Amino acid sequence: MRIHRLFLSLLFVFGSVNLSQGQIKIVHLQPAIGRVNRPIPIEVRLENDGTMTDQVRVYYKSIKNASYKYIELQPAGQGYRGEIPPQPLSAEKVQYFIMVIPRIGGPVTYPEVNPFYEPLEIQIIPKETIHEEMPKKRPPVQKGEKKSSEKGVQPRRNAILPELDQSDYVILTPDPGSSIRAEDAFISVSILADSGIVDPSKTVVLLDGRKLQFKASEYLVTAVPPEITPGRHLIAVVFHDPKGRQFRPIRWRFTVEGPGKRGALSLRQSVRGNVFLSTRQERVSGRSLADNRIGGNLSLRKEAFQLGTRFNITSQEDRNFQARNRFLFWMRMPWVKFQFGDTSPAFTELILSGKRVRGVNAQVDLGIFHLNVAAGQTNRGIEGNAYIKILDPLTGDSLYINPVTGDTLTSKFIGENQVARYGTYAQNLWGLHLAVGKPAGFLWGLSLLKVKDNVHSIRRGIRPKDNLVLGTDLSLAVDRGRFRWQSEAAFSVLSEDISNGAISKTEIDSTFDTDLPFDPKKLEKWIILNASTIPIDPRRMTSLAAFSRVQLNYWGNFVHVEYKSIGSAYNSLGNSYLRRNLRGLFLSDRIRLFRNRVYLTLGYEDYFDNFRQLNKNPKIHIRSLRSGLNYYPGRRFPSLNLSVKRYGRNNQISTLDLTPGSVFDNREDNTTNEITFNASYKFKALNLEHRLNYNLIQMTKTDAFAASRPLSYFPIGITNRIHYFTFETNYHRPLKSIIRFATNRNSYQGGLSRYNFNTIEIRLEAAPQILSLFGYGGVRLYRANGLTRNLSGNALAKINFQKYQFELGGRIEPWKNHFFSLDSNWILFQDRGERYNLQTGGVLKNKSYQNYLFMFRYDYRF
Amino acid sequence: MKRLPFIFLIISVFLSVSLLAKTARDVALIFKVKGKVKILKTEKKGWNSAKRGMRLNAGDQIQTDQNGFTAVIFTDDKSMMKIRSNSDVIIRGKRVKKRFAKRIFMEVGEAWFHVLPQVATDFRIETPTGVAAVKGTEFYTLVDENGNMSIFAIKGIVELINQLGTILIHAGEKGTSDGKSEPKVEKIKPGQMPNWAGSGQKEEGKVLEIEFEDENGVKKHMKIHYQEK
Repeated sequence: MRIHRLFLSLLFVFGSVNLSQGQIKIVHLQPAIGRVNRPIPIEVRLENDGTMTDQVRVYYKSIKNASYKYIELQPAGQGYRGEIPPQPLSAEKVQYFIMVIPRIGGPVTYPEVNPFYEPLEIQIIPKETIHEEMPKKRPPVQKGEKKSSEKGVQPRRNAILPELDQSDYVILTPDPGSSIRAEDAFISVSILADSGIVDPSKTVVLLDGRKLQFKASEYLVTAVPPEITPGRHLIAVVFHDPKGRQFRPIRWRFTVEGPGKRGALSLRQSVRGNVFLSTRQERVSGRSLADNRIGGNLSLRKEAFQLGTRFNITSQEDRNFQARNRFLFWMRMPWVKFQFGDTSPAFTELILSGKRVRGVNAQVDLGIFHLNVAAGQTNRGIEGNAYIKILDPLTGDSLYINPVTGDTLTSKFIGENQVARYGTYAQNLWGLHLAVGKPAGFLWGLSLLKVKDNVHSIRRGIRPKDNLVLGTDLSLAVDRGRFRWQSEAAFSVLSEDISNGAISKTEIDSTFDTDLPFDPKKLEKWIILNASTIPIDPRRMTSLAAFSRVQLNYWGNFVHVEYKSIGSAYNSLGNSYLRRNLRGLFLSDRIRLFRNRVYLTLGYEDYFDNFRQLNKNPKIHIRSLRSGLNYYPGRRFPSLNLSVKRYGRNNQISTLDLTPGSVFDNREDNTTNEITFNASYKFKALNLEHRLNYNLIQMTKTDAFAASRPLSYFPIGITNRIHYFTFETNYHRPLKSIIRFATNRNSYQGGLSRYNFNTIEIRLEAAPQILSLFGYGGVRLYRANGLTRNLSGNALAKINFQKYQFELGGRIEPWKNHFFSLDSNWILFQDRGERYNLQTGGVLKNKSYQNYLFMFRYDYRF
Repeated sequence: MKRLPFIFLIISVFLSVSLLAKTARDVALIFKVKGKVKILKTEKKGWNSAKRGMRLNAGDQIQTDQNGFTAVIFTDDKSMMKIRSNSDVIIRGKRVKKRFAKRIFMEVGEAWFHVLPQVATDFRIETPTGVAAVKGTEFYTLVDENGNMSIFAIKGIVELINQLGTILIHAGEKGTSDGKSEPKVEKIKPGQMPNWAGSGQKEEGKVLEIEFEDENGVKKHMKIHYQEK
């Protein structure tokens, strides 16, 4: 099983494995870079999703943070889409992994192996370099551009329109987002682009979609609106090049004050939101799924007071599973924020972060006092299932049916009330974080978190839990935030089974022949203490978690030093994905050179995993050395990114356990070398703009004990090499073509088995200038082959499949603010793979199948 | 044929002079006008009344009468100049790549300047008795009828130069130059700082402070001045 997982983990950058039908496979293409303060789009496709997916989540964090937050991806097309929230430059890298929670079966992650500790990484690229790499006339395409409703501007077509560099123009008046008097309404944009890039005479100036008379020169475009009413207005200035090709419109909003009634800003004008209806029909591996949704968000704003709601109601909601519907009501004022519904409260990294809580979350800021309170339910109670007794009509014997799987059992050990599947207890959370000070200066906080399973919520559950966490945090920022120090410590108590309640002092004293200074029964309101409680002895501090980090931002260096120690028994049910039993140091420096054209990153990690060694497992020394070089020479030259990472795991065991009758080899000393190279070049040829992108990802894992492993152990060595090319061309229509080609070569189990695949994709995107239409279509071809062998070299399975995927979709805005989207896919999976039964000599051929995916969505934005 | 090099030389000189003499156009905009404000355009004879949206070229002259007030915005970097009553200002300078190197000549009067700090613009205020060199600041300049010059620095640093010396004027300081002695600097006394520029775009009133965190993790505060009605 371990080997199989390792094999799957080889596809950590992109690709999919279709070895077996029925199990969900996550197909994901990792974004090459993330841009500073911009959301990072994440797209996921699921294969063999016949079991109907419950949730698709992306857990993410900055490389410097210990804990993950998550976002839930929404169905889009034949996959799921979402965005990792904008990250600051100080984040350096965002680490993330994808988790799919199916209705039946356990969660599936990507990467499949060790996703929490070895997640995917995205480099955060500074804004300046983005400007540098943008060509003046044809920058990269950005999907999902905000709609524009102005006549004369093609909103959806903007996705493939070239964009003027931000340094090529200056919005002079009115200031974006400003509030002005009607008599001051005067539109002016300065053109700073080099001569010949913009033809001012072809400029279009729109106010709320209406064309305005304007005056344009080589340097300046001005327009005076004839009359303008109070309220919010949208300006769009559309430039064209001398050949008449349109640039992406420059848009901004401003508000015209009412006559003497500034305080009475119209409520109607401050209402924003959208609603959507969507349907998604799938037929995958012979199983059908229909997911119909209604959702939207609404926000009302009146000066500093804001109110809003967000909801997503799905036909997949099922009382027998965790909630899939989402709703949230929120209210915000300068000193208070209040949320009710599906909230994601965040106290501190160690205590509460990335957990959905259905309840309330309130934050109050009163000067130097800051209070954050959260209370609600993290899991709802889902009853387990018991075996159902029936009588065999033929024999008259008792039979027991598993209501989940439908399996029929005759075992005498199974009774009528025997649990076939345990349920999930309703779990409630409440906590508070009180801080004193200023976030931009000195801040000291205290946290308390209580999470407890409701043992009465279901009848057929197992091991209900009770958790109490206390913590303190301290942060100091001086010199305008260039020096930051942040520390946190937390202590937890977790009772892993509270079904029998708390133990009494009498029981403890008699069992351990001691005299406990307190009675656990009296603490039941706070925490149920019993034999399942960890830590058993709090004095050993195994349930203490702490970290301290310093960040310095001086002389072009961004230095990060962090030491952390997460105890083996530390548990916060408010942050389930914290890496435990880990102690060590992290150092990194990101150096800006040559006017931000070159970024050099150096990092070193030195950790001990399982450092407490409270179990039989050995302590593992983990060391990693990272370096990165990013070069952005300018618009006309290719940008280059090189990342080299070397990490090793060593458990300090060098001898075999030669117990008579068996050989046990738990030695671990392996080194992984990873090289990632990216080159991106935008150029002009044949009077068209092109972008060529190349990625190389190479990973080699070597085992220091490869030569001396017992014959009964699979070798550990892995090699993996991916080449990935993308070629994009922007035509004048506007039309865009994209050709992608990738090869993936893998060798694993020390070369015993292999897996290779190639994929090619051709895609066209077009935006004819009618009704804001945007259409796309494409075809993808995957071809894979490989072989898995056992230790004797006998073939266990032959991988040989081809997959053709045809995609067609588009968007249209037939009426202002009304959008219709369609996405359809037809996937033809031809599997010629085989599995071999070495005992019987039988050959089992894999099945071929066809999948259909269809999505329709209607959006109204206001 | 022998004359060809000579003709070529003449044409070259002519073209060079033409290019050098080319006026930098649309370097600024009249953003606001109150009272009587006159503009003398380089390409036109006679004075014209200033109007909102009027474009200004290098060499254009602005005069305000006793009730006149105007706000001018520079098109390359959004720097702003507000000119008070009884002032005489000439916008000079030349385009350097995407920027306009500004030479504002103040014969007499009062003006407020706001030069954005993040743009490395060459910005100088020239008066009969001195030159103020600016890089990212906010200040008032006063020139009396004798040409004596005063700088009141609100933010940043202004370098005041005359033929006898150079001084740096920091926020909260006043620098003076009479052309007869080296410039002097002193602390601004209470009530001495002009504050009439608020009558233009920036109103007196309440301040809303918003905290931002930039890409380097550095927190910055944006102050929004607003007035309740």
